[in-house]
Amino acid sequence: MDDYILAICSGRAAWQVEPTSPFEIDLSKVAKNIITSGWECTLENRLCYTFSGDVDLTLFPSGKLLIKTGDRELADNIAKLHIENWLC
Amino acid sequence: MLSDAIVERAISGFPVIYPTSNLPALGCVPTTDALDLLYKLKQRKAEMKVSLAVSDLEQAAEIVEVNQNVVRLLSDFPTGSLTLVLPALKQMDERVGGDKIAIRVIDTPITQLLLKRVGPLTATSANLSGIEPETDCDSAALALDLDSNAVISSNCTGGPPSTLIQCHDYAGLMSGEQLLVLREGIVSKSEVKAWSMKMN
Repeated sequence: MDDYILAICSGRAAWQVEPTSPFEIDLSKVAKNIITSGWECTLENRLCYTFSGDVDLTLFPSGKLLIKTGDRELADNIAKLHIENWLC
Repeated sequence: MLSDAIVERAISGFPVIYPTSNLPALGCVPTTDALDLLYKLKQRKAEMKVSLAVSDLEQAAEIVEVNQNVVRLLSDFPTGSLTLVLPALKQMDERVGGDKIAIRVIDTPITQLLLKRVGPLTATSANLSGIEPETDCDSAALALDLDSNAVISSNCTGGPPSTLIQCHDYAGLMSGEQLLVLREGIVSKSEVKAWSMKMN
C-alpha cells in the first residue's frame, strides 16, 4: 500500500492520514510498529490507541492516524512512515 | 439499503430523517443554510441548540477535541447511549454549540453508513418543537411534511434518550464535578458518578 490522503483537521492543529483503501487493522500489531519507531503507547482502547513522542498520535481501527502537529512537513514524514512501514 | 438519493439530499443541505437506537432523528449538515431550513421546519427557536450525530470516534475527532478520558468514557458505555459536550476544534454555528459541540456516536448501522458518506448531521428529534415525537421514521416524515426521499424507513424502539453530559474540565474528567449530567437518559446519573469514582 502506498497511497494515502493527508488532510489538515478543522482546528488546524493536527493532520490526519487516511489510507485510500480503508480496511480494518489489527490495532495492537500496528501499535507495536509505532512503538518500535520510538513512540510510547499511552492508551490501548477498542476505539483507538494513543501515543506520545515527537508528536502525539491517535490510531483508529480503520487505519486512520491523527498526527497532532500543525507542521505539514513533519506530518507528511510520519504519514509516509505510517503507510509504508507501520501498516505493513 | 441506503439510497443515493438521501445521501445527495443531505449533502445538498436539505433535512433528512434517520433512525437511531431510540427515536427518529432529523439531520442536516451543520452549515448555516441547512440549519436555517431545519430550524424553520421544526419551528425551533434559534437559542435551542442541537447536537451532532457522528458515525464513530474517528468522525468525532474531526470536529471536537477527544482526549484519552473521553475515549475511555465512550468506550465504557454502550455506543449511542451518551451525548458529550466537548470543545470544538473550530468554531461552528451557534445553533450546534459554537465552540462547544454535543456529539453522539450513533450505533444504528444504516445511519452510520449515511454519516460516513455525508459527515456529521444534526441529531435533533424528528418532530415539531413541543410535539410528542413519533417512533416510526415514515410517520415522523409525514408529521413534518417531508417526502419519502427524505427518509430512511425504519421503526425505532423508543425509550429514553441518550444521556447528555457536559465535560467541564475536558483535560481532567476525573471527578464527578467535572462531568455534569445535563439530561439523564439511557445511562443514569449514578452510573456516570460510579464511572467517575472508578477513574479516580
